[in-house]
Amino acid sequence: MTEHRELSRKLTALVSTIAGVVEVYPSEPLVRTVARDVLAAAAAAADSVAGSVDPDGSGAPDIAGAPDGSEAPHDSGAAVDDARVKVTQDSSGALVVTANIGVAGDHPVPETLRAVSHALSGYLREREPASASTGASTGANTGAGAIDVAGASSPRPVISVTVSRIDNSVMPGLLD
Amino acid sequence: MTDVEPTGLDPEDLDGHTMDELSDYLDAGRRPRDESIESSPGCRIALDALARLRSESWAMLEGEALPDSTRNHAWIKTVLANISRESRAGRAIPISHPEPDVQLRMTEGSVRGLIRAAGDAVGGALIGKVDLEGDVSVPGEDITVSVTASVPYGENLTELAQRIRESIAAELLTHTELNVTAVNVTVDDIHTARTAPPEETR
Repeated sequence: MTEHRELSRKLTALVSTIAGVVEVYPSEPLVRTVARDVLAAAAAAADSVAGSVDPDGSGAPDIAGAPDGSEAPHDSGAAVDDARVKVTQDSSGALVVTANIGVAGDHPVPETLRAVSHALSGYLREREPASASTGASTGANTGAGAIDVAGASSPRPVISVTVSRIDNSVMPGLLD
Repeated sequence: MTDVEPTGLDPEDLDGHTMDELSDYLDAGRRPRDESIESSPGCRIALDALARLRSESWAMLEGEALPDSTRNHAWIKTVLANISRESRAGRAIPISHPEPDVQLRMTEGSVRGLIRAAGDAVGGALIGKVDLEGDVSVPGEDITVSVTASVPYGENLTELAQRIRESIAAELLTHTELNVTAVNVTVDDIHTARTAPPEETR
């Protein structure tokens, strides 16, 4: 979970540097994110109260450690979320990366989308050998920009990129 | 011209926000920043359209149209309802990619926003409604774009409609892979003090 969040942050930063990308939107509405965070914080707070044994701090109660757990996640987590690219795993264990972006009006959407997906697949390809401790992936790349990162042992990542808005403020040549 | 459709102002349409809220937010100069609005593509598309609507054409519409204020007010309300409805994500429109594990898409809301912006940018026209007819989720399917527009009094309607059509077609060609077979422009209103009765403007 935390690993996915860290990867999400990196991928969000990466996507926002691609030419034509003006925004990376959260993959789910903020209202829902806040509600989920509040519920998670409340659950974690309940756990920490119930489990009266001192936790040995391997990463459990950091946000929920605040006694007044209602305000903390609302302000900090959702308001400035830098992990907007959604990273999950499907039932086969394949990484599923979902990005939701806004594109500048002077950048054609298809090219921008392909540039984003290319950057994501490139990043995942570079990252995978390091994190795949199984090794053994002797790089069975077949070229052609394939996302074939870890040979047969690791399922190929699924990349989904959606343009949700075209920024009309950057659309030259229309106003006459 | 019909009155506002209640469903068009459903808060769920815009990630929990209403057009009234967005209008107030725009009035306040988008300060203080509301992250739930700014991070919502639907709200941003609606804000873009609202901002254009409030430009010179809006001023003309409100300032000069006192004799027709009731009718124009209804027209504006209808446009606001349309913007709210059209800004929703809607259907997924595919963009091709050779890799089967890569899925590229545009939302229908982003394309509607693009069409509205392209039309609004032509000669003081204001787009009323945007329709995408045909199955946009299937590559290569025939798609017809239909828009209604209000145009300034005194313009050559045929020429202006043609310019709107060309502007929309050019943007769709640049930004989508839709197989657009027709762009229909219906001028259904004229905004000025001397607006003719609706029957005469069609």
